[in-house]
Amino acid sequence: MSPWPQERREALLDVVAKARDKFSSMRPLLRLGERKRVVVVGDTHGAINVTKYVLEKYWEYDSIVFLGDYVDREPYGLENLELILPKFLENPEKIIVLRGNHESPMTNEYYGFKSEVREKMGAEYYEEFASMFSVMPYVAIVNGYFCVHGGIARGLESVDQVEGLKKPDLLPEDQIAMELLWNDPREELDGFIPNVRGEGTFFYGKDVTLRFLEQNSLKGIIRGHEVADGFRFEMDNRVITVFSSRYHKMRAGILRIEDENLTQEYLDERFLYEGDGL
Amino acid sequence: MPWKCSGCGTENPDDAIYCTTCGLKKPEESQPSQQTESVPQVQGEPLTTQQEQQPQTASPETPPVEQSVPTPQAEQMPAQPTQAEATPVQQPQTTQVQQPQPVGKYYIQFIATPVSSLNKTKVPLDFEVFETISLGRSPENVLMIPDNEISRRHALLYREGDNLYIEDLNSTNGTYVYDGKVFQAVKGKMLLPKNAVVKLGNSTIIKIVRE
Repeated sequence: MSPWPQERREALLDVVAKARDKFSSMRPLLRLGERKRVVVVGDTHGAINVTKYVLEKYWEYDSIVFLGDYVDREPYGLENLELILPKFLENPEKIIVLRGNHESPMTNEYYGFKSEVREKMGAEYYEEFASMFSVMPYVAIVNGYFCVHGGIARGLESVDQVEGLKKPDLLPEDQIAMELLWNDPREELDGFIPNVRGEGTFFYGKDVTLRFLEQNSLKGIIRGHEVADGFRFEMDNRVITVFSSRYHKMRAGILRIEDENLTQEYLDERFLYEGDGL
Repeated sequence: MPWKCSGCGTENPDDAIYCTTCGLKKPEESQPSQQTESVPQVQGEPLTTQQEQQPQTASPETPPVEQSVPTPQAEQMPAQPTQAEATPVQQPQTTQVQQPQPVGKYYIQFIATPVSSLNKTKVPLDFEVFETISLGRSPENVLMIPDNEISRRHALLYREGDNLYIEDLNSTNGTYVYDGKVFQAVKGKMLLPKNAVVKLGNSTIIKIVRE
């Protein structure tokens, strides 16, 4: 990784500062209501081809919801943010940028983004990114779907509780916020069971998930966070995992919601590396 | 030539017969035709034995389907996720011809493992064939689990009367049974509750169900 020219560095820092202010003014829960055409993008982890494709192809849609994890794992986190953030600032009603568990110093330290910033921009600039991450929203509800990076949390009975989560929260420290970003669904289980991801993370089982959806009149949960060949459906299709990155060597998937229909779209190897002149 | 482990993905040198990470046997050496064991989960093929979640791959004649349709490709819901490892293999039926099944058949279902494609897979525990079912990372076990934090011989499962027990074999990273609040470390042997959720090491969680 070679250092970026000053001009490029400054341009991104400017965008990051503006995005931070915009995120800061937004609630932790975004209620988007009913939208005719929406596309949901899971973890990208620097998969700039995926980001570029979605932003160009679906710009006319009512919403593009990114479920978090823009950085780490692949060394193109900065390039990914260079694509997403200006589009977000151009139309923050349309481009929904949620926080993932990799929008945190907790993960950036170990999974590469901090080093990437150091090598391309200078170590002193990492704080700018961490500060922006700390104010990003956690959840968007669109067409009755609870869109979040990880899933539901212990103690989360009502979506209104997400509204009350404090920002900024750097790690985040709040237990509910942490679990929204880190938890995983398991239809074979009931209740909340300690996750293998470590202290404070949980699997959420079928009973608690269906109860949460019922109590909040939600159709389902759309989330990222776990490696999948594009998608995984469980709990009678009420929980949908969308995975849009490339590092896992499986296909990237994006989910389209058009009226009442959900459509899985796969972006495979050939398209990403040879296709479309992107 | 170097080969890639079908279990954990590790690149192994040519002369390795078993995966250097998880102990899975080199593919050429573990063809079903060479297998003499009578239950499907024996000898390093647990990943591919029971695809009960995948009805579309249930026919033994169906070759593994790698979808390589020109892109971008769209599929309508509902659909099950496809597993790259979903190679159907023949499932020897050994016990049902001669004798009726004992009441209550046990399965292990993978909840979390480092090999994400293994999740949701169900493996039957046939105590009629193996009175004691050993779990571990190396291929000598009745059930081999590809996770380098699991010991080579990690734990045993066996019945006593109508009870099912698990015994930790002094594994490095431990065996734990979920008690409704936390995972309790197994010291020696422990009676398993109904639908037990068991953690082996730090990264593998299985559920033991009786149907």
